[in-house]
Amino acid sequence: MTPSDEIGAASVPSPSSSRPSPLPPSGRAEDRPGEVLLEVDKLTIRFGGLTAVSGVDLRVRAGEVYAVIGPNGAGKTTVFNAITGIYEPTEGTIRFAGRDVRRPWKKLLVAAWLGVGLAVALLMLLFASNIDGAWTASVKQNFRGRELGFDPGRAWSDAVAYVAARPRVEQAGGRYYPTTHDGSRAFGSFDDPFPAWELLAALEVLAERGSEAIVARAGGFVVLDRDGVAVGRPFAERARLDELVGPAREAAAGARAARLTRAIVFTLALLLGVGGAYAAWRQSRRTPAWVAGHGIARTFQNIRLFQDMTVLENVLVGMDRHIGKTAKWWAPHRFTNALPPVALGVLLVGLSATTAELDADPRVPTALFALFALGLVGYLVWTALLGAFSRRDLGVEAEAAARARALLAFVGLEDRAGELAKNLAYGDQRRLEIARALGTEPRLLLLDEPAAGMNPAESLSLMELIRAIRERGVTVLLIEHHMRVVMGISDRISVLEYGRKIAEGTPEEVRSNPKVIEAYLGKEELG
Amino acid sequence: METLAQQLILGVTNGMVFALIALGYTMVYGILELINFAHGDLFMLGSFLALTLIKVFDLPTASSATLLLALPTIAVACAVFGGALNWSVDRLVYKPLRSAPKLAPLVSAIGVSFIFQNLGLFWGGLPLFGSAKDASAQKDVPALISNVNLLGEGAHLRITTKDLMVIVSSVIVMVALYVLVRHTRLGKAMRATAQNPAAARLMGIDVDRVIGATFVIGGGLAGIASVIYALYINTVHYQAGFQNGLYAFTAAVLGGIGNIPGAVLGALVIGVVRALCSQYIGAQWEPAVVFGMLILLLVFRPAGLLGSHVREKV
Repeated sequence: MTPSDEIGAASVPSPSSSRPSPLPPSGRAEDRPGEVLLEVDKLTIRFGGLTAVSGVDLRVRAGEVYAVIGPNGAGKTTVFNAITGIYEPTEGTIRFAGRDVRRPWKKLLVAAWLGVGLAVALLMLLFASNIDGAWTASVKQNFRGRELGFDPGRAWSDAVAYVAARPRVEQAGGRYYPTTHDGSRAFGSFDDPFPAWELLAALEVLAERGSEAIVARAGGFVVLDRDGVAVGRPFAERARLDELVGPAREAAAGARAARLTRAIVFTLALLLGVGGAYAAWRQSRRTPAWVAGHGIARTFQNIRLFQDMTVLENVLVGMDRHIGKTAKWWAPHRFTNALPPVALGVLLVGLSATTAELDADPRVPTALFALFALGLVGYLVWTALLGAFSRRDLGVEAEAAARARALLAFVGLEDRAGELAKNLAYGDQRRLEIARALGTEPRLLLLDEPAAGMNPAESLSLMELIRAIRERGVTVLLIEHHMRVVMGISDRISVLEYGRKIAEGTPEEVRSNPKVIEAYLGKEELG
Repeated sequence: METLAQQLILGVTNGMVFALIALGYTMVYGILELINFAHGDLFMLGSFLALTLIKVFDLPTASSATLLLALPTIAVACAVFGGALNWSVDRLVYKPLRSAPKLAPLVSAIGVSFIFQNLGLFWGGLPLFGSAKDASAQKDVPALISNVNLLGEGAHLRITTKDLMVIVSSVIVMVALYVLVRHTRLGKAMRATAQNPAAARLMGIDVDRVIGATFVIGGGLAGIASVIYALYINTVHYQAGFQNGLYAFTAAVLGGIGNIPGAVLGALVIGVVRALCSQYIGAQWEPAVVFGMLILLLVFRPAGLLGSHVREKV
């Protein structure tokens, strides 16, 4: 047992130098060998006018090692980028474990959320303001006894007036009725549309500003609003005006309340609709982070480690999003852990506020007190934060570190855990990248030219490692140029050339396929 | 000797305030390679909020015990304000430009900086601060923290409660930040995103959320710095963000932009150099000496004091 392996020691048997050591069982669901895990269907990717991949089909079954080979520029890495959600497929689908991995188009989505939100909001608005009333006000009313027939503009403004709870003029049997927002015709009727409209205008102003007084003016009695401005034309009889003002005030109050209710309903429904659509989208979106979280991990052709982090931290980054997911920020222990320091702080502040009036001069005690108080506040904030944000108490941190060390032992890097990633040798960096990818608990591991730049001995131990990964139950899809590696470990192979699949089959079949030979060696010129 | 020690104390105290602002520059640069020119003005808006809260709650008449409770509360309020504002700016202005050429968000940052300055000017014109004609004038912050010498009034060296407040509270904030970045999941995700966003995405890290968190933390630090600054310098001005932001930015570059301990080191160096310069050379030479030092450093060590040379990505 190596000295650096304290935490993982319990679960990890001593790693032998050549065989990768076994890993503790992972928490993910096991795949049944033989079922189709990754299904790439007629995948086409174009960049502007350039077609990088065209019509590629791949079926990767659980438990196999599947290799994609082909000359440089054949579109192999592009396929990987599409599978991991970095590129959007121009055409075709990618399904992983039965789910579509395609990443939806964002601008369209924003429009869709807004559309859903608006639709929900309008529907709720109609419900809130009585569908039947709205229909009558906007459509039926306009067909009834109007000389010019149906006018869409008029219907629209009537509908808006109805929804906005504004009074309007309805006509029935040749008479005109000023009508309040709830359909009440408490203001009598008119032969002529003109006084009806006049009263309507008055009602509108009253609804907005309220009336102040009724005064006599030249030509009759008139209502003054709060600013002292006359509303509408003068009425001949005072009694008639009195009769109208009371209901008008009531109607105005009712209209204001109705308008407020409708506005609240509309806003809530809009927020709910947009939020719901967004939440539904979040559940289904396929960003690279989503893909990584759902069982696909990959390495890169040019190694992309976190160079300034330690070897162990590199693996932990991969692991962090997949271990201890249950510890949400609202988990109760976060509050109970933070409670004692917060309570202590409140108690101390309360005590100091009640006991001592600290304004008295003695210099040194004040200074000491200030220092003490600041230190104390700092300490309390500190412990409260630790209690609230640390995962230490859950044992999650220790578990993650143990698993990370076990993974490092698996790839043979257990004694380099504390070094910076950039200080590792090239072959070790590749191994670390594989360990980091395995940290995300993948079901499918994508390896992009893992043996690039390796000497024959390193390639051999890499093949060992890939076999061990497969034995662990992880399906492997790899791109590779080293034919010894490809032919040695793959169950099936696809060959790409100029973005098209030209052959597929077992290593023997592919090796003897004339098309493949042509692609790699060139066509034999006869004659 | 005593003058030297005195200037060192002054320099460290000033440097601490610069450091808190510089951290915001350096964190955002580390993760986005964007120089957030609006950061200094965010700091200025924070100090306006602090002054407003002090006036609204009438703190000059409050007892020490109340102050002890109220000032941390104001600091938290300003931190929340700064964090929320910075996050919103990222969402509204920088995020849509994430895939645009680097110059586009940079110029937008300058635009946001002007918007913030004008907000500050508007804020200063509110009736709370007197007549609107004085909108551009310097606003006095009441002296809430005593300026008595902790070593006794007769002593040759002055360390006041104020100095202590600045140093202790900044150190608390910096240690908290260090722990956050070193030892939490979010911190690991932030470092991973800064070092290789493409790989971070494929480790399951939601890069946009991490960037948002960085803006919140940077803005929060600026908010806390603004309270400390208002209580220490006792003035607030709508252009204060420009000058302090410039020094803080210089500090971030001096220490190695993108490097968190570097920003603190750079700020302390600038604070001390300014203090020594004003004592021994002359206050009017301060900017010349500081920026001259920056030029020299960049000539001989382009990555800054603690920065590492960035290799060209293949």
